Amino acid sequence: MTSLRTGLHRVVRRRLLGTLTLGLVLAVAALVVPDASVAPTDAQLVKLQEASGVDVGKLANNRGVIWILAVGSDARPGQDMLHTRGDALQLIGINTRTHAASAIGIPRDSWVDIPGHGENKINAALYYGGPRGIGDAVGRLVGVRPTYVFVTRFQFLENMVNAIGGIEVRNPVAFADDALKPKGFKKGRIHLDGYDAMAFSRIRHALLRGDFDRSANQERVLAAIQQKIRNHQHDPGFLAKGVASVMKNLSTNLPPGDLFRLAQAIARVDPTKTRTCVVQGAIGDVGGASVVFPYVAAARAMGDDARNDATLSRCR
Amino acid sequence: MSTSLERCLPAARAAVVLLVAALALSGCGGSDKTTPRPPSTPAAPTVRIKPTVEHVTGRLKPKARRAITARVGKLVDAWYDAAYVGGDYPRPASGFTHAFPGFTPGAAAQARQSLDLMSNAGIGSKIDGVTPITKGVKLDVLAVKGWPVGVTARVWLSFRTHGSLVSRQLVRGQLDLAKIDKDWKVFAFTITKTRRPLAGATPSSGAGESPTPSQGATS
Repeated sequence: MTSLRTGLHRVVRRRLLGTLTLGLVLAVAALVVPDASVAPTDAQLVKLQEASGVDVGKLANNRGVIWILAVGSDARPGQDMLHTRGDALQLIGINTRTHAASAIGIPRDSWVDIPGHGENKINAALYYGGPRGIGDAVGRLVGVRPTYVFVTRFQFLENMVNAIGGIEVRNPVAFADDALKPKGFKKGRIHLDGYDAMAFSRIRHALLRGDFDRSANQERVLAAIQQKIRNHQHDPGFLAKGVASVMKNLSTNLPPGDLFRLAQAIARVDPTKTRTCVVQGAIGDVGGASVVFPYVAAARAMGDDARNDATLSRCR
Repeated sequence: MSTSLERCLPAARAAVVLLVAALALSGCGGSDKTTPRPPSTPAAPTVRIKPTVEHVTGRLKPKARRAITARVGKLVDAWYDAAYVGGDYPRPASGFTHAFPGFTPGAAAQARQSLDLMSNAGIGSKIDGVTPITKGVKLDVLAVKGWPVGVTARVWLSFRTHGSLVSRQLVRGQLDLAKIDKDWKVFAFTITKTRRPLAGATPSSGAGESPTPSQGATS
């Protein structure tokens, strides 16, 4: 009898606990679901379905893929940034149908053949051949020729990042640079304003793997810019303001309407479908200058992997 | 795809006003000019779209502002009509394949992949009319040298459905437009569509299903 009573108590207690828990859940639900008690059918917790699409027409190839080479020129004020040395080189693929994207970083010191000019660092291709020259050089190395080459200088990158209110990146390792960032960047999630984004993208000597790690940091900055655009794409005027800033700060022969379409495609890139790689190589020395002898076969494999659908199956 | 009034009229008990409104908006009564209207029936409500420019980046000439406002308003209204509030009901899903006038071919093809959201394809066979409640569009314009080069149209449309499915539907989101081949076209979209059953409403057609809870909030 005693055991029966104890068992009964347990059941009652359990039920009471269950009721209390349910009550709490309902109370919380009532707090977060307005008017729940008035019109229960009006307040159901469901995933809102969304239809989304973008057609960039002839800006993409027949598979809906766009390849853009983003070049950060080291031009100083007054210099022609289209014919200086490209300090940052990122080959970016966007699949406008699947909303996937890839970025393949190319160390600027990669030692390659530049037709008509012999062997040199790949960034010299901008100096010799302008945007087309650097596009060709990267195309030969990776096996994917960019359709568009966007060239900017670091001051302009600062302006563009400031125009969107700064970015957030996850920094894998703390580092500093006496010239560009004496106080350094902390490890972890950090906010970068325009200047910080520039410094984060440029610092090399403080990084363990030098040019390779810098290239990876540039990809972090690009991904963060995309994330910011995506998060704010529905804010009135946000994308238009970004495009206006791009028109002011970027050298491109694309008409403004096409840039607007491109911006919409970028805003729709799904971060969960984004992957980045950096072309690897061996560190060497040519005439006293530090260079990277890129692993061409591996670079081509990356290009083969992503060429058709802008989707990398390996790397980060 | 009825054309006569008799075929359009639901066999139901909904209020006369609603029926007339639904008929007028679904175009069902168009061919039947001789059919007498009940003398007490008010004129069918006309819900007009009033496009406004909310945000401009760059300088936009007043003349260009007026022109782009009118053009985009017309394009958005054409989509509202073709996809949701115009045409005959009941209508099968196949009747919505041309629901995207003003879209680029690529954008229309992508919209057809989400036809239930981008039109009434998912409910067209369950209803015999719609009554628009509100239509709206606000424009964010990117302008260069006084002329628009890109437009984001923030859109919202709400309407009632009649027939087996009595509900209030809300379509909202954005359409992005650019001048393509000398005309403004929708090249991108982000749209949601939510559905609420109307409290106390009974289906105007006896054989119909009432919306299930999962249908009650989103389609």
